[in-house]
Amino acid sequence: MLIPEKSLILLVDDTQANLRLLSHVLKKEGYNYLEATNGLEAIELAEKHEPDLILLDIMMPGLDGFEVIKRIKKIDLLSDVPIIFLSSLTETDDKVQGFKYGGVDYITKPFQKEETLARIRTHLKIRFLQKQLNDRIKVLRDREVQLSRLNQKKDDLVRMVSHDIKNPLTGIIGLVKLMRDSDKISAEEQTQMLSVIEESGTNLLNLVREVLDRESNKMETEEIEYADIQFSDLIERVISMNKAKAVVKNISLTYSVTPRKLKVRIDPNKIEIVINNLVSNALKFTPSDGKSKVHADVKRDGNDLIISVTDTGIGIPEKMQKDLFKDTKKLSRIGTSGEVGTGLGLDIVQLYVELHGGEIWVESEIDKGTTFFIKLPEVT
Amino acid sequence: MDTKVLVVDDDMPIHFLLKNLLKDDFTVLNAHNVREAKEALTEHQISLILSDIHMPEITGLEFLESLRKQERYNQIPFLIMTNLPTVEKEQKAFDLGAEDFIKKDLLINNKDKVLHIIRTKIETNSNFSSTD
Repeated sequence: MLIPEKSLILLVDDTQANLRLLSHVLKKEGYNYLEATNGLEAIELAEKHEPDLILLDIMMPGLDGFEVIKRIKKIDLLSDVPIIFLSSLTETDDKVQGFKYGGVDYITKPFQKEETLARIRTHLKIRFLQKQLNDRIKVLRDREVQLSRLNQKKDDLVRMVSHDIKNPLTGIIGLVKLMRDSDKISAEEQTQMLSVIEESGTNLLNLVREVLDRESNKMETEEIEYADIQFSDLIERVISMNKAKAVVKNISLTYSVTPRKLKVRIDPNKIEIVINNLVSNALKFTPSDGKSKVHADVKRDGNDLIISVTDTGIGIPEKMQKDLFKDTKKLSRIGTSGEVGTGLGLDIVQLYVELHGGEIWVESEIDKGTTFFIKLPEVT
Repeated sequence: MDTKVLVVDDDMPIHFLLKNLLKDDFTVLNAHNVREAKEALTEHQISLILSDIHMPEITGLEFLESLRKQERYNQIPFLIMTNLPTVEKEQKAFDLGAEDFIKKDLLINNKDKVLHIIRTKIETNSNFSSTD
């Protein structure tokens, strides 16, 4: 922001009278200023206070103005600070040398007040615009990095989805060709093949749904909209949405909420998506052997809420568990009915839990089952 | 003695396609993951393994790597199959000791080539084995 009044100007002159005069003028205009009477003091003050502009006398005992500017230009933090030379010398040589070392302007003594102020204002303005520009550039660079990271993520997703689409398609086309071209296929084999084709088609459809769901989830704002709700209403909705899938796979799908009329303050839409994703994942990775269960449990723990979703499914190998919550680059897994898993979904779960300031973790044993736990703090 | 080919893939249709392609020449054993494949190896004399890359838990490449370290199994011809071939994957497969790298598209477009590759690999390997 351009607030010249708040600018800090360093005055460097070995003549006290000049300093007094300049400081008087600057003070009246509302600038902050520092005074130095020799080159070394000037460099020291500049390093310590990082002024917005320096007025620098050329002729000084010890380090002269040219030596001071050479040293200041070598200091990273100060290399962009505009320096205006002050001198009673009027020779062009001095001016040229001043510009050569990186001075931005030149004021001759005795000072003409209006001229001095005009030059100061101009260079402060340039300085501030330059700073703004640099900030903008930095923001744009950061955004570029962010975009390329997102783009990478998208590429990974596209690759994963392509793989998950290509597999069932190869199967479908291959089997159809086989059935059409070969006359040695038994009726029994035909039936089997048809059901595999049907299953592959269903997988494809599910995959497309999953991607579409993800897109529509993304549309929702990532800000939290809290509401007071009775938790059992939410979980009943999730259970009824997944009931059909559970019946088809012959898995018992149950829930419990303790206390029964538990009231919480959460973002109900986001938590519904969270629990729904966990429950539908649990169904996906649980085989239908007649004893299979998926259970969603909700309990109050002090002021916190603990949600867990337990299945008796295939379990998650330890090396995969570590990767679950890192990123979306999850391995694609195939469900127990051959459902295609793209690893979509858990990243949304994680995001929404974290938006609530909560935590998510998993406990799992191969072929025994998996439990996902979520803790939402201070919601009851 | 019948010649057994072990197919390792988590994708059901591939098993059907390969079984139909190979059944006149070989006995085809199916494994849906590496765990099942390892069981099949201990129970049967396998003449060739055809394995997918992308499978849950253990990938086909990891499976190949582990077999090449075991004297009992390191002579069995191992063919890697994939739906999304890349130069890197192919290179990795050969580096690890795969006999060939098969694009699954061939199962649709050029089945005979796949059959030919498998026959050749098995014949070459059995000639080689019988001379030592």
